[in-house]
Amino acid sequence: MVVGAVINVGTGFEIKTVSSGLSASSRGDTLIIHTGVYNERYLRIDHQLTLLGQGNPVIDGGQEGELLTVLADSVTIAGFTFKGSGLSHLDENAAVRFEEAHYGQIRENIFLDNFFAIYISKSSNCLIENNRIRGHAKTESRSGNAIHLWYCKDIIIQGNMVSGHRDGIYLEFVEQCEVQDNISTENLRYGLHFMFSNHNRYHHNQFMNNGAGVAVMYSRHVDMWENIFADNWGSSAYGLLLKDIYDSSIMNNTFSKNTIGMYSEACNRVNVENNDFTQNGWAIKIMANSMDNVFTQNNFSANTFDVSTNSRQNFNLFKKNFWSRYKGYDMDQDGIGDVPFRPVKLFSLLVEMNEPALMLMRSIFVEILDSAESYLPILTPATLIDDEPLMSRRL
Amino acid sequence: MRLKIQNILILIGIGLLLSCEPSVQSINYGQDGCSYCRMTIVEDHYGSEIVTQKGKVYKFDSIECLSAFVLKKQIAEEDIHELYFTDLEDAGHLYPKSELIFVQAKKLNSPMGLNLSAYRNPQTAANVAELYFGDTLNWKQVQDFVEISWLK
Repeated sequence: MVVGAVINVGTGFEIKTVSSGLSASSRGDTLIIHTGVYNERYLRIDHQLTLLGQGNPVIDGGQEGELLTVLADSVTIAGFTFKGSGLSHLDENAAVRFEEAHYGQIRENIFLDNFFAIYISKSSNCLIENNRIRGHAKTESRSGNAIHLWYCKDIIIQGNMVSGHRDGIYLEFVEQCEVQDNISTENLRYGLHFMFSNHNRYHHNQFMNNGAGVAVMYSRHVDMWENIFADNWGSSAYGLLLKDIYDSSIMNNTFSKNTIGMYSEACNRVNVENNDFTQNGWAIKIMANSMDNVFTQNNFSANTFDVSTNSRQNFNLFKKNFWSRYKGYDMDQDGIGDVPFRPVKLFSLLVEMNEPALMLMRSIFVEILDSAESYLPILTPATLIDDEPLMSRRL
Repeated sequence: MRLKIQNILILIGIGLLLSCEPSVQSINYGQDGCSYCRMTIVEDHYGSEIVTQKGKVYKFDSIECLSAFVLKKQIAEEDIHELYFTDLEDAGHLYPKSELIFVQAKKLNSPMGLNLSAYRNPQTAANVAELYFGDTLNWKQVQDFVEISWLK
């Protein structure tokens, strides 16, 4: 095995530009790019290479085209600032693109004002770690995704901070990925977005202040745990939007201060356990086409509506949750309330059918309606009840 | 005097009728949600809209979502007044179906992954189809394509 050469690039060296450094390199070399600003774009890596930034060099594309495309396996890119990949409505220009490039690493880089920042396509076994990515979506309505994966497998995305893009982290046709310890804030649409991506896990992430929260759509076997979904306010904003999700789990997450904490449409066999729903407009909205989902050991505190649905039918199980609104008693002192709790208020059903009815919120008329319904339930779903409500918060 | 009141009533009546006239409504990008997939509509090159006979408006984030909404009969065919789509070359503006030619292209990603886009200029449509590995389609072909890709 031949050990690769080290090639230095920078103002004080023989090779001044990244592109000439790349053409001078051969398979297995290490390219050290020294501090400075390199106004270069359409750089291509087509053999195994380690690309290291020394003193955080800047590669600036000047808002045009792509910066760096990787077409080979086992390429590492670390220590750079990538700036200004070009806006386009036809091409998805990225700062760093992996195209059928496996076993690659993108670590400790800064991405500023790019259209797409990291774009991984048809690649596997890659690591995207500890990058700081900031877009210009707040001032520019057209923006791509910060980390975009398309037809990928076995990718680890961890410790990144992403903000100001269309979606923070976007996965489409992706399998076996691990998304952890990322902070995704202030993106135009979703902090994290799954489409048609089965067998993935995301945990210990924070999703705050995004346009519409997090969306997991058309996927199976997605496990989500210990994430924070917070401060997603707006007419179509959700902490977590689930659509067409099967056989998944949502555990130990915190949902606070969202318009809708969790929205579920056409979801089946999803386990929702040990989560905290606090101060949301609606903690859970579950549409009647969702079946066999289990909600247990969750805390529901100070939400305007705990559970809302659009039908009298219910095919989901609610059991052993804590409801701050529960007014029952516990004679046998086993910690479980002796009378069942009905989390769906008649008024929420009315609002579901006619949104402007929200105007009547907290009016005496609504209070009377709700208490009448709670004594003689005829309109709210008969089976959507928690038979064993917890008397105190699960810790 | 009586005549006057009658006139006023007629005017009000006409006013009410006019206000019910079905008309296109611009999409509030970044705020409105898609009536089919529930996602927030953000890409102003792909926004689509159904206006019903009664003037109700359904908004979509992509051509494929609108098409699937119609195919799945979430709205009755006879209730549709007009379908509107965005010309990819003229982001943010909606045009009626009859003025547009559609393209399905392998290398031009659309919001929901079926890679459909629309154009008023047939030449542009043909160019995009050629450059991005695709074909030009009429509305019937778009519907067939969505049906095969999503609903079969």
